[in-house]
Amino acid sequence: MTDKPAFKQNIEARVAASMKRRNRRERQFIWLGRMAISVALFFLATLFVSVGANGIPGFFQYYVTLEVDLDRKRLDPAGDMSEQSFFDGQAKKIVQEAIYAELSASSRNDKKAARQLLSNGSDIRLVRFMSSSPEDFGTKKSLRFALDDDADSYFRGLIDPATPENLRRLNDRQITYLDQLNERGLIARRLSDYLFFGSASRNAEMAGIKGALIGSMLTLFVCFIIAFPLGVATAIYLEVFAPKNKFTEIVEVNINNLAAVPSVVFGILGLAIFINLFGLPRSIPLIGGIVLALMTLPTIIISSRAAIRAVPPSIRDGALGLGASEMQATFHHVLPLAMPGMLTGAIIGMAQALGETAPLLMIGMVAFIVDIPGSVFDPGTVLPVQIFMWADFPERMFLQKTSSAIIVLLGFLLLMNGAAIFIRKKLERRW
Amino acid sequence: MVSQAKQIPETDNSAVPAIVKCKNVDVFYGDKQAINNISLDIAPRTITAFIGPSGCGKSTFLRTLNRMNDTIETCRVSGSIIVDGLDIYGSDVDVVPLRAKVGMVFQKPNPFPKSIYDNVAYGAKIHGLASSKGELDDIVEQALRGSGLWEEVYDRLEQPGTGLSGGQQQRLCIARTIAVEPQIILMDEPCSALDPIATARIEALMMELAEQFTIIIVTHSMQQAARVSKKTAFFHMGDLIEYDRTELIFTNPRQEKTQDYITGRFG
Repeated sequence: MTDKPAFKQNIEARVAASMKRRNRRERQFIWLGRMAISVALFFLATLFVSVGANGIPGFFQYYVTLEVDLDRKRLDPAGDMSEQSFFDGQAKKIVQEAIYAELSASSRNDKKAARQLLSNGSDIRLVRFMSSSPEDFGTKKSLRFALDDDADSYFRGLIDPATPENLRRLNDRQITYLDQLNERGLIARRLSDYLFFGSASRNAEMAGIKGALIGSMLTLFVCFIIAFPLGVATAIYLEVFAPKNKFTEIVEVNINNLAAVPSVVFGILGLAIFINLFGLPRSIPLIGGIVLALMTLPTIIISSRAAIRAVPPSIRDGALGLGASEMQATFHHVLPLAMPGMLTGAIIGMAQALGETAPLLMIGMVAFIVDIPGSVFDPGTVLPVQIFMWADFPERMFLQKTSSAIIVLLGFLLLMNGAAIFIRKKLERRW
Repeated sequence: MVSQAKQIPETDNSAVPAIVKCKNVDVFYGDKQAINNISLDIAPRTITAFIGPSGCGKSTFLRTLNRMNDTIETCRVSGSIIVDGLDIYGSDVDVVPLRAKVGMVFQKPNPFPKSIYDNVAYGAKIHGLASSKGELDDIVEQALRGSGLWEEVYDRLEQPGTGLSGGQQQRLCIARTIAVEPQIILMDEPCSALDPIATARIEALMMELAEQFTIIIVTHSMQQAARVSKKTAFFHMGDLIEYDRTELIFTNPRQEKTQDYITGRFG
């Protein structure tokens, strides 16, 4: 023992001593990781709680039940149930008369106070009801109408009756009326049909996300149709066929750079090329989709190339060894195996595109559009832009609807990711 | 090396013209030369073994015979390789028909992640060998019988080829190769990933197949070369050291390096 050099002695004791230090380092690292995850979870929980606290009440709104006199002559003067006939009719007046009667409002000021409690869209609601059930003409019927957003806010507790009258959005008369209606059991809190089936509106109680949701779907559809085949084809070419030279190297570097370009730049590009140069109309999902496709393309190319590279070369060699051409080996054997990975990349790209606002502002998808787009050529907007617009409106109810729209957006995202995982698992099961 | 080329007429295959004729073949990976000026001829319907230590170039040389080295960007081949009368590195040669004629079985069994049937039918399908479903079925059955796998899998042809055992997978790869009716089958260490029993089956199969096909096998196992091959080529550092009848190589090698290798003094 003694003739050994110093560094060869007491090995066990020295290893034991060093173990203590090593174990401590490991424990420290594990705790650091746990702390990082806790912080992340805390912020995520805060986000969900704040969005949920505002957004879930936003899914509901307050309705008042009124008995309306469905006189056909007044509602449908031409008697043909046409849009024009209903327009010429007195739907608005009939609804107003119903609330005057309910609240026994007789003076001018009383009537004004009473009718302001109702949503501006009440007449359209009545007309819609009549179109769907014309057999009720001539009867008296109890129908539900949405309250105006100020009245709605009162029931949400957002308007305090103790505030001086001139500082609140409802006067004393109106608050008395609302209390009366509530006492009679005519006020009901229901799932908001306007939120899900309405489109953009300046009236908070009537504003809905249907237009934006359909706009988002159309835009993403265009984006996917363009970006996925183009991205996959590019990836296959670069990975399988392209010679390795300076030119392909430059292309490669630039694709990677493109992935890091701020999205608003793509919006400017879309504006300059598609709208100014080609003269395509503004605000349409087609251009939105193209712009988002340009933005998504690098993500799809990069992940598709990684997916192709991850396929064991022995599979490709096997096919080539049998006399398959490069293209056959790629399409018959490599691509099916790379597809799950490619789809994952595409979904990540699409999820990014779904949440994108800035480039769409550039091409005018921020316009106030009431009509729900029926095709990719109709002007429309998308969910994140809708959220952006609503967040800018002062009404309290828009604040809640903004959060509701965020919940829908997140739900949409979750659905997409779920679908992607499902498709991937399904494809992977093919051994 | 010239002396080796001269040996071929001395063998008992002298009457049969060679199916593969290589002359002054050099292979480079970038600047590095992997094969130095090799010339050798291979007789049809025999098993020829390439042996040598790791990195000696035997696999590289094997892969030049069906141009599988084309998949390596930096690989460059010079010299002439004539397969069945065709200079395969000629400027107008398409590798697709060449590889249909010169099939390949790889070191690790690599069945496609498809059914057993589709694995065997694939080559016939892409080359348009079958005009009907019935014909394709026949091709698949014959190929599976040819590789001795039919009895084991005839009732589960729709199951994935990747679900078979290693030895079965390798025989499936052989079936897949012979379904295209090649003239030559290149085998790159086909048994190195298999257990001794599966290896014995493959060896027996190779000897059967040699009645119909020309088989060229790269192997690390000298016993395997001795058991199955008629002729053996010994490679060392990119050179062809000796090429002769297998029994001569293993009993009475002319070169000292061959002697050292087969007696286990290096390698």
